[in-house]
Amino acid sequence: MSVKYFLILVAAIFLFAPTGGVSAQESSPRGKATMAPVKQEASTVISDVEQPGDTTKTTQEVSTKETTNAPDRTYLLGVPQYILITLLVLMAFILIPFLPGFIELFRPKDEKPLALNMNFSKDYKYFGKSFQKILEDGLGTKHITEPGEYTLMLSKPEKVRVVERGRVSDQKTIDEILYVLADFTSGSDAEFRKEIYVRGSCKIGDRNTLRALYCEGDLVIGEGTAVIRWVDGDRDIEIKEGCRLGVSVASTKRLAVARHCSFSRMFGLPILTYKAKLPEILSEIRVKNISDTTMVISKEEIILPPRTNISNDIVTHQRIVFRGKSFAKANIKSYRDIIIEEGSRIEGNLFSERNVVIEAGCTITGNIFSQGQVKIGNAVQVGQEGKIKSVIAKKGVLVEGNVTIYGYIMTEGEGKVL
Amino acid sequence: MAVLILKIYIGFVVFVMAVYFTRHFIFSMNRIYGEQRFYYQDIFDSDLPFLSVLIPMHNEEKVASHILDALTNADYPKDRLELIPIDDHSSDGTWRILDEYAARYPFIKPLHRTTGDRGKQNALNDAIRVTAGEIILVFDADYLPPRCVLRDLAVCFNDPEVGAAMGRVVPVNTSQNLLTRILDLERSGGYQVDQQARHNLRLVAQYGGTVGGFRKKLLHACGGFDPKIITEDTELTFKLYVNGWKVAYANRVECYEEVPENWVTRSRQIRRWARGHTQVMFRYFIPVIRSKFLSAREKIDGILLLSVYAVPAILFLGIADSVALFFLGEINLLTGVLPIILTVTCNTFGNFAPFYQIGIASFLDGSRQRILLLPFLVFNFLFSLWYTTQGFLDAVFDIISTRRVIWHKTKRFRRSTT
Repeated sequence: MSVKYFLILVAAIFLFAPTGGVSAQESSPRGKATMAPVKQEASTVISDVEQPGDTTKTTQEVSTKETTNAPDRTYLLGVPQYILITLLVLMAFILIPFLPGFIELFRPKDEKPLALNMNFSKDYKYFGKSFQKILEDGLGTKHITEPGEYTLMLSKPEKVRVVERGRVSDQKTIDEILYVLADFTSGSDAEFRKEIYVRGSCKIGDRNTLRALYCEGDLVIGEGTAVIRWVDGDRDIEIKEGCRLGVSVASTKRLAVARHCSFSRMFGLPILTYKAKLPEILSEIRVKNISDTTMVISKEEIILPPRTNISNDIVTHQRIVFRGKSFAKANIKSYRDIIIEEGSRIEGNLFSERNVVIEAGCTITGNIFSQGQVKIGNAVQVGQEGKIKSVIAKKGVLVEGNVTIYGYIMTEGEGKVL
Repeated sequence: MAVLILKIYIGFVVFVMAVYFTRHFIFSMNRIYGEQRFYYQDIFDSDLPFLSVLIPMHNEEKVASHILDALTNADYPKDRLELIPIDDHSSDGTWRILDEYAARYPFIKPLHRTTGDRGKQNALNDAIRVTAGEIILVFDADYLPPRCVLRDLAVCFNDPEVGAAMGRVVPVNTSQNLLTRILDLERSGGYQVDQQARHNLRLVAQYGGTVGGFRKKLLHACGGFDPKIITEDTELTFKLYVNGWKVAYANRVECYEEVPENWVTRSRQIRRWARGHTQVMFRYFIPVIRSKFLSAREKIDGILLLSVYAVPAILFLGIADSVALFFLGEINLLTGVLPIILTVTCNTFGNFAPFYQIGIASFLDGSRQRILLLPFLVFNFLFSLWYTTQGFLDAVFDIISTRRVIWHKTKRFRRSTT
């Protein structure tokens, strides 16, 4: 309210001040006293300069006559009007930056607190569960036993085809959500533009394009298949060679991934990469008694000789290298690279501000976290059965064959099974 | 001679302002164009530490049940968790609420303090003695933590270098009045840009005493919180840094808080913060410079962070200095310097989060309309200048007089939890 009237008042002053003011003569004797001598002096000057018969006017004359003809300066509240106007303009300039703020303050469009989801809980099966819930809420799918066509209200109505068991032939394109009550297979080069939900087991053919897929049974995805968004499964998932795995692939059981697959996020218990020739069989590492648990902080590069056995947490500002067959029951942090050479075992977490390289045959029982890339060599194991651990790398993850990861692997960069 | 000193001081003020201007400009640019470091919240880890969550309360019957409801709803395993609300000499119904919750939830173990000095730092010292957890998390009573906060904070302690963790604070009562909206902008700038940029650049991120936590063994090693220091969070931050530990900042671990709704409450709050922060500055200025664990840029940032509440006092004195020089007829010198002071000041201290920094923070938060309120920060700036200077002087007198420091609780305004 007050802003509106304030603005009207300012506008009124601007509009009416120049003409609506009271003249100096009417308002102020001081005004008369100051204006009169100016006129007097002006006429005196004219008589001094003007010559008889002179038709051209000197500059002095022109300026003097203009002075004579100038309108009387007016006063407002005893203050010369031009000063008032100057002040008002100044005020306006000061106020201008505040005007949009006044509008937002009194007619707010953005006054609510930043929205936080108070019930958000991190879940590796988030996509699958959300889709499952949408179907259940929209169709009551738990109770659907008969094939047919249904409509699901999302942002727009979506057609859902419910089938008993499905077989999609080669090169076919499906434009509707598929809900399969039993098993499902597809031929090669099929394209699914909407989501698929399979209650039984599922086998996707080679070079398919999938938007999203949830499978309650075992799932096999054929070679060269492209997942646009996600794949989620309640049982074993097997991914064949050369697949692009979209945003997320998650299974609560085994997730086996073949060569040349790319990914952003994967979850499996465990995640297994393709079988390859194993590295040389490693000898057992003898573990000494662990007693010292203090932390070592170093600004130097640390290179630990082969078969080192340590039990201190280590933080180093430089690179750290564990030479072959070392053992550490410790957490390791490096501002640069961490390199764990062949056959080493780290019972702890690895944190690197740059890259982490885990060479063949190593075991890391904790998490691996890197602000750079992580490279995981042949026959490496991360985590252990019955537990969930993570490999997080900002810029990329490269994984070789025979790798076992109990839990989660995620990157913002390129994730690749080599 | 006196005039020369006054002139040198003006130069010093300009230098200090320019340094802070540069610092915050770097932070702002980092948030827009720089590389953003990962926090640890993407880690899935089944091995979670035992957490002790402390909630200091003094006459908090308006808010006590809200935070306890939120924390009992957390997705953290309850067998790895204990909640210890600390009834700190309450004279209202707080104790009754705590006992009711303790009867319903076995993991809620209230601590009733009726003897000893009141105050957050004293309450925490007492409570830590009875905790079972190796990791201590702290929430102020007016906070409303989402479900995932405990897990996301706990997971960062896998990093052996992390001594404390800090989440982001988001005001919940933004829509109340101009003050709450200004404080919302200020918080946004302080966390979304300032803290996150310090995390990105590996500078000194600050533990804020709430929505955060620390390792109990480190606090024990440091002798607990000093009862004479009323900002125990800042003290802990610098205790950790000078001893080689870091504070992890988690921008995505967000939690609602209640900000003061009237200027009187705000003045007391900011005066208390300034006083406590300055106490810490006097104590840790030299240790930060001498610490062998801090890099050069951490030391510079640490000094600037320590001095941040001294700057309004420096600036205030600078303004008085410039007035004195004006009346001494030395203003000619200042015709070039004054505009610099005004410009740099105006851009630098929109109450500790410069205007451009707050603008960028709002932009990153997707809050476009509230940016329109930015010019109103000038009022908060002037207000804070006055009360922060008073807080600074309080701290100076604390040092000189060794008087007893009394902790004043911030008034609550809670109407409902919606």
